[in-house]
Amino acid sequence: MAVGNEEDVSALLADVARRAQAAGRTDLSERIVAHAERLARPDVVVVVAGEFKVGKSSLVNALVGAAVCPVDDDIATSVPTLVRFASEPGVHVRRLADDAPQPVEDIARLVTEQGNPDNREDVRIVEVGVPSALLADGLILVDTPGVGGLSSTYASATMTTLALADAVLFVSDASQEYTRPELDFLAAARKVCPEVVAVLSKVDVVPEWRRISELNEGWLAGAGVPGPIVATSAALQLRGIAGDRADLRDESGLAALVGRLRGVTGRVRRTMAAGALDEARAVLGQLAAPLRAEHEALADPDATIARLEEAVESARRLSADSDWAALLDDGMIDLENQVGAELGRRMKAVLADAGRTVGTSDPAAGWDEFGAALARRVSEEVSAVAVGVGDLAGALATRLAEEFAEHEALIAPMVVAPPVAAVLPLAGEAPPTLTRATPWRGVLMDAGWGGLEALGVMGSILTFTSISLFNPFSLVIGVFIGGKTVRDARRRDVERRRDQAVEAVEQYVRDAEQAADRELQATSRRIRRELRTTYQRRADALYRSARESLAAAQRTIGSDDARRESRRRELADRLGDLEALAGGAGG
Amino acid sequence: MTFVAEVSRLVASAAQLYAGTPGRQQVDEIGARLAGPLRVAIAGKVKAGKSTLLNALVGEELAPTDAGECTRVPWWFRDGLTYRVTLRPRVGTPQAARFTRTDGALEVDLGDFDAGDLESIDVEWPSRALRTLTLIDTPGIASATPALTHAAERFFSPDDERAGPADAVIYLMRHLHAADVGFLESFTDDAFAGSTPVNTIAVLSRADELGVGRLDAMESAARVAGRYRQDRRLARLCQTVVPVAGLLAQAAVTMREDEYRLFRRLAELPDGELEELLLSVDRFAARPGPAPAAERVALLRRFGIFGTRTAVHLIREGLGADATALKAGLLAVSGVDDLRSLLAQQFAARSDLLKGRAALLALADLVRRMPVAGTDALEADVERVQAGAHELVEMRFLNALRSGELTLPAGQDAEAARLLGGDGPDPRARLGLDASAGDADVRAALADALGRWQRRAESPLAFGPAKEAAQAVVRACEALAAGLAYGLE
Repeated sequence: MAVGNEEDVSALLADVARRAQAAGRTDLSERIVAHAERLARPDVVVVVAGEFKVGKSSLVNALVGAAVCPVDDDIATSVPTLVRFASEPGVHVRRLADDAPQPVEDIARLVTEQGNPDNREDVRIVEVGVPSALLADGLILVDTPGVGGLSSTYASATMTTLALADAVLFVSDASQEYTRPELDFLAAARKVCPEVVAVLSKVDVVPEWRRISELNEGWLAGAGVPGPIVATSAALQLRGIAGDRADLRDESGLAALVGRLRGVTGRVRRTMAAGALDEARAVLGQLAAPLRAEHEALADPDATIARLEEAVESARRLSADSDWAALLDDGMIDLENQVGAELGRRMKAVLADAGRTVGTSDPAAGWDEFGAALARRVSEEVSAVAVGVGDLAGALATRLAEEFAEHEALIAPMVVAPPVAAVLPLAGEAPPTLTRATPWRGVLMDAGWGGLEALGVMGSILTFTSISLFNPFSLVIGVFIGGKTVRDARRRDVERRRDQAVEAVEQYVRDAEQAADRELQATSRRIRRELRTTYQRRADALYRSARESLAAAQRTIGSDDARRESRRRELADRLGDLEALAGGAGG
Repeated sequence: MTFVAEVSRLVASAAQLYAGTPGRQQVDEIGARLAGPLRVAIAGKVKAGKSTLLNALVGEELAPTDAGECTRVPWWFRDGLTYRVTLRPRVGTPQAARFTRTDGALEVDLGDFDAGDLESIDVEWPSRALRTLTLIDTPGIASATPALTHAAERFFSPDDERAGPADAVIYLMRHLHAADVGFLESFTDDAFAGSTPVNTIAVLSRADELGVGRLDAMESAARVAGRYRQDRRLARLCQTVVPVAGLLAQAAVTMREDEYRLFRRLAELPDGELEELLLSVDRFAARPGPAPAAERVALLRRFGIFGTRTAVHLIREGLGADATALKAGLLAVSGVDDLRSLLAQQFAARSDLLKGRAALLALADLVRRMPVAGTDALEADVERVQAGAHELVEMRFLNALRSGELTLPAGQDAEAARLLGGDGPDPRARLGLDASAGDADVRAALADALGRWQRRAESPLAFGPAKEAAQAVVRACEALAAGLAYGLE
């Protein structure tokens, strides 16, 4: 059976879940139902990124057909805004301390640099729900602060977000070709995000937009980002919607962009379908195990019982917290140590560079700028470590999955394909790099998290790399420097000022390192906990399958010959049936 | 003796000391720079509209502009008796170059040179606008082509420690960017060189694009510029921020009669038809309308969608009865008029001071690098003038106030900066009076300010830099009073 058809996949999942339930295995049917639900409405996270004031918010508005993100000539977005489907429009604000719904009118006050300077409202992310058809099948757009704005700590936050996204729309406006910072951002984005779509905005006002588009396509080719560039005019689209004018909507170029977004959604769905089918195969394997055990026991009871006893013992050990748990624990401890060391190494380098700067200049001049640059640098380093946590955790999850695969093969040998977590390929289609390009997404999917939940898990790190760094910084500087004599411009005080500055910088970097370490450890503990729960359930299910298999085999011993033959035929039929299903799931 | 006269005297004595030595040529260059027009560099990120603004200021489409990046070496535009282009290579002797003009823009034949080998391209052009200002078009920063960024950095931070080539800087930015702040800082020297807040004006360029070409775009831009003026980070780096729609200014100043006629025909279209036509650039070029498509495309290329919309709007409002009226209206909208008067007020009026300061820097540097008999005394003289000239003291305090290195008790910063000439050196500007204020008002305001600052300067509570600043303000007031007494205002 071809698995491209989503209806076939969900029918198959429903069938498998029903069978699991009929066999009394709700532990297995729940796993399938969870996959089926996620597949029905996957969170497909698309981040809209680009330089400051290129029209990202307008583009989001034009895409969803409503003015959800505040747009103004002067104001700029400063807090990531997540736009998702909702039958009733609404705004939900996630702060550092708490989450709360907010009146829709408040959004401009919360997400712009002017309404909420330096994020004094401590907003982590704002979620906007809109009844937009584009978003109905699970697409989530994330409007981000511009990467080049004065407070470029936002840039590293955006980069961390990209590690979790399914795609990025990279927006630049038609008035000029890519600049160095834009190309740098593109190159970095391409490394962490599976799909980059280049969008040219504001083509309604730039006569030479076609030339700029060509020039940019040249740069894209050089950066290894596939084209073509999608040329758009949010203004024409919004006018077309307001005045119900199909001609303007056609000219806006938004349809092509929607096409690309649908492509992203399709790819994510295919990946998810492949994962769900793997799971279905694993479940079928376990449903088949008792039948197979009985079937084999009819032919060769002694050998079968011996094999199954061994399998039960192996599954018992698995369920009672043995090797895999040690592997996970050791791996996570190792990860935490590595993260701590890496963070320490990077912060030391920051301190050394900052010390050099302070030692060769007068802190009285440009202290604020130096402070902002320092905060930016620290934020970039933390962001790099956070992305690294994903690499390490991804590798660990893969090893864990391999470990389980051996046990599953022993207990439920009908599972022919590799287990769920190792790879999620779709035979002959999407290359596995698409899913594994982002280790973060891989590990989060292993733990059973969708894109949105993934953002939630990473929320603490996102916040950390963007916002919270600003506040402790101004605090530290305010206390140690600003209030005292650093602005006193007399020459003889330069040395004293330098000493104070070095002290303040050390204090700040130390505080930042501690806070970052705390956040990263908390994240890694959370990953450990989730992986542990997931795999414990898996182990328990296997143990149960093994015990039921053994019990089924033991029942056959002593049954009379006539019933044995008919039972053997019945078992062969049911097994064949399950194998056919599993074959379908295998693609 | 005035400051400039004193600097000239120092240059003259240096010329004698260096007679017959290799240093003489450099002294002559310093002298020529002192005597010549003020050199204003136009700097900014790549594609900020530097060449376009230069053309608008010169009043001719001279500097090549292009949708891609095009200025690869600094171009100098100076007034001359004849049209001449000289290539100045990094190594070797300057050479005359052949040039042609395509649609006005200069096309220079670089001959055997690669753009990377050139220090600068020097254009002499008989032009009234260039008589008071020599303009320098510089390569953009943050270019995707690294060589271009290097060229810009080389221009503003030359390898050796000589004074920078420009006396003043117009810095163009589209929005306030991290790269802008970094770049402004790179040519703001803490000691006594390069550019300072006093000789830098920031221009919010391509201002019409902020409002995405809407008719009210320049009002938005003015609001944004106003906010930037309040930004402490920018105040540290430049005097003020003004919005300019460079493309519109360049097109308006060179507007032709046929272009005016096409605007008229557009303005006469029925409302609905005009609106449909102006919805997007592609529509303007492709829909049926007055004049062949090619003509409309050319118009759009020159004026942009904002310029086109504005021109048609002005005509419809009765503000473009003829080409001259429309041109004046467009120039006013573009903001270039404001920039011009700002240049006259801030740079031209301070021109001697800025040039003299640059000459002093160059002399100090020369005597340090190439001492000859008698330069010890000259060096001491240079230092004395640097330390003593009231104009320089004013400028130093002004810079310190702007950069935040010096803060005065609450509310006094702004007045001190104004009295030190922060809003312009003219007595009325210093006293915060209208240009039309009468002499009696000037005298009253001056007496008031003088009394207030004398008390502050002599207050037993004042000490350190704040006291010195108050003393400088008092001196500034006394100089004003002296000027008024002799009727020299």
